[in-house]
Amino acid sequence: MLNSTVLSKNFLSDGYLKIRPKNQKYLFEIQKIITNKISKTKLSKKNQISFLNNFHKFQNPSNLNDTRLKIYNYINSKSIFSKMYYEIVKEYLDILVGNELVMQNKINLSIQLPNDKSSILPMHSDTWSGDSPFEIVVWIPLVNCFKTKSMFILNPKESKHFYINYKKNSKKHDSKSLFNLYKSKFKWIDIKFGEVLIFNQCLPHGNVENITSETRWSLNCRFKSLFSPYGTKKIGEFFKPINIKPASVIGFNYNDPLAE
Amino acid sequence: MYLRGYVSSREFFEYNPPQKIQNLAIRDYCSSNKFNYLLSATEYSMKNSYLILDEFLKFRDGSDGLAFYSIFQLPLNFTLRQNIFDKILKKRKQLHFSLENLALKNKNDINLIHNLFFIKQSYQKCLSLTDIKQNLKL
Repeated sequence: MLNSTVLSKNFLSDGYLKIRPKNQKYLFEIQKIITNKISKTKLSKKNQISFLNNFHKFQNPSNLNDTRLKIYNYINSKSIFSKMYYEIVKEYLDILVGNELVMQNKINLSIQLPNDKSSILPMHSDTWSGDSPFEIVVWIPLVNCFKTKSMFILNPKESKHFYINYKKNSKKHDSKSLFNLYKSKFKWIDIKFGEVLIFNQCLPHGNVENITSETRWSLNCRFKSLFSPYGTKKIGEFFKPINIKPASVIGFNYNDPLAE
Repeated sequence: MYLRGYVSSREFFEYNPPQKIQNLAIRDYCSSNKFNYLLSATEYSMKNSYLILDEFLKFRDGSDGLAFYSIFQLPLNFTLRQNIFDKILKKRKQLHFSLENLALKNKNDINLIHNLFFIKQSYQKCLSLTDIKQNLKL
């Protein structure tokens, strides 16, 4: 049984939770669906990770986005994929977000080859590009991620400082120097395959050039409460309902007897 | 499969995309799904007008279905919407929605489309972030 008070407190104070879900079977299944799509041979569980880590040895960097899109379209054409994704974190989302939820129509895939400068996501918050501050991100690594092979996040305390000073700082800094200003405060997420990161996407986060010798593979997907405020990413086009509770169904079907 | 495009010339919910964008989205959807796109029909701008939609739901052009820009171009009224779905399924035609990447091909697809409408309509009555902050005095 999860301790909802502790989880909520930690999520609010750290800005993220690193969890080891009970449902490891689905994590392996997700990893298998992806490796099977690109590997010419069937791989054992152990070799799946090794194949993904060493993917840069077979992949031409200039075609990386085509490969990524091929896998992205494939995983998102399978409804079972998003069902498993949700099931992996369901008990945590019940605590952190609620149990009447919407999730992204399409799960994002990120592949970051060693020394590939084209896959860098500079420091940002998703809310700056239209996401609702009521959303959270579920980030699933398909390989072990550490140092520059992972991502960074600014904790809520430092983020508050960042936001208070943003107006002033954005006038005298570009994104690179702003990054350097907060660089020492970033928390670099060290996370293994089998673990999942749930984070507050309002907090500045991002990644840098992967200077490790392994390829990073990760998935990310946003979840929010069905009726919490939406940003520019709306129901239907970006989000799909995944569980509608009976009280909402009653509300949907209620008609005012005097309405025209 | 041949799909007739269907674009709006008035706003629906918070959307009011230029027709060029609506057509581009439909064309892209058809191309990605290997459908043949037939030049879009444009609905009249008058509020609650579905004259053009009604006309193309007769399928006199021999098309296999309609490709909307968005599901939210459909009528707000549940009964009107259900009547359209019944008509489509009876004629063994299809409705496709480019923005949402959804399609109505059989009875099982109806529920999700109605639900998206219900959520959207209910959501219009929910508090905004500003309202919430004011009410909670945050």
